[in-house]
Amino acid sequence: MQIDDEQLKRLIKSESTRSRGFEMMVRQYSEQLYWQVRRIVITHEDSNDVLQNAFLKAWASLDSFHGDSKIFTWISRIAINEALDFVRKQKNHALQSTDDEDMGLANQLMADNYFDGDETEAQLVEAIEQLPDVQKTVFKLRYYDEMKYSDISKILGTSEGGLKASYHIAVKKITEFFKQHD
Amino acid sequence: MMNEEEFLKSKMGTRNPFVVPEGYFDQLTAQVMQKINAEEEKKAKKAKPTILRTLRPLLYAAACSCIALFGVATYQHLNQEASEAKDLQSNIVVTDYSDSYFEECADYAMLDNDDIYASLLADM
Repeated sequence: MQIDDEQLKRLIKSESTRSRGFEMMVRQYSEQLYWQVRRIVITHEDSNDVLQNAFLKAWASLDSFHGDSKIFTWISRIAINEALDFVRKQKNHALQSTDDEDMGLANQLMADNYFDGDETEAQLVEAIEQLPDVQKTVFKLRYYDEMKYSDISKILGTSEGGLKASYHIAVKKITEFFKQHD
Repeated sequence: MMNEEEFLKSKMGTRNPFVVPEGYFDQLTAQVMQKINAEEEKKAKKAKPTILRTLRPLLYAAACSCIALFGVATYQHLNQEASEAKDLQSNIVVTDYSDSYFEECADYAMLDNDDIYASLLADM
């Protein structure tokens, strides 16, 4: 059962109904948030950890939510930032790693129990991952989640014009990928 | 760009190749709320002032005062003992010298033993 934003905000605002309201919010938005996180973080295990940490952070910062945006926009921002931070840390750790094995993301995905795609789909994920950070993130949020440029701008701290340009370049590159694999 | 986007949509469509374990979303909310409740309990335990925690500064102050008092009392006691011992020693020295001193006095006054005995009997 979907609960409207204003009702959720009223429940969360009041100390006596805060926990119940938060639980309703989690139930209502967790699946949508999970897929936003999963597209950024890729593996299920990491996505689960990141999403749960995001909810814990959201709970801890409820007092700073003044209801000036939609609840989903607010929680989505927390989850996406948590996912981007996770990927950044992972990248830094990979640079410091002395492991010589380079399996390639597409091969890793084909071996992953929670990836159901074929080889072309695995290669597409790899092609998207190879885009520069801003292009990669704006592509995922705009193409898959149909997020507004204004909301993406608030999350990434990049101007809307810059995001539109990045998205345009990302679309071109992914189109090229398909043309090469046809 | 619109053509390219439409081209992508025709190629990629809405298919999502990522999957989740069976029942994952059904138990996710309960798991999240369990973690939140655990965090809240931890916070509540940290914030709760126990009697011991409240009295701790007073106990430290009391312990320091006791140690200080004990120190002062011990110092004074030892001081007194030393002074008593010193007095006793000076008494013993005086007593030790009394016989030889007395004999010296008797020689100086040219008194012999008979004169001393007579003098003592006269006082009685």
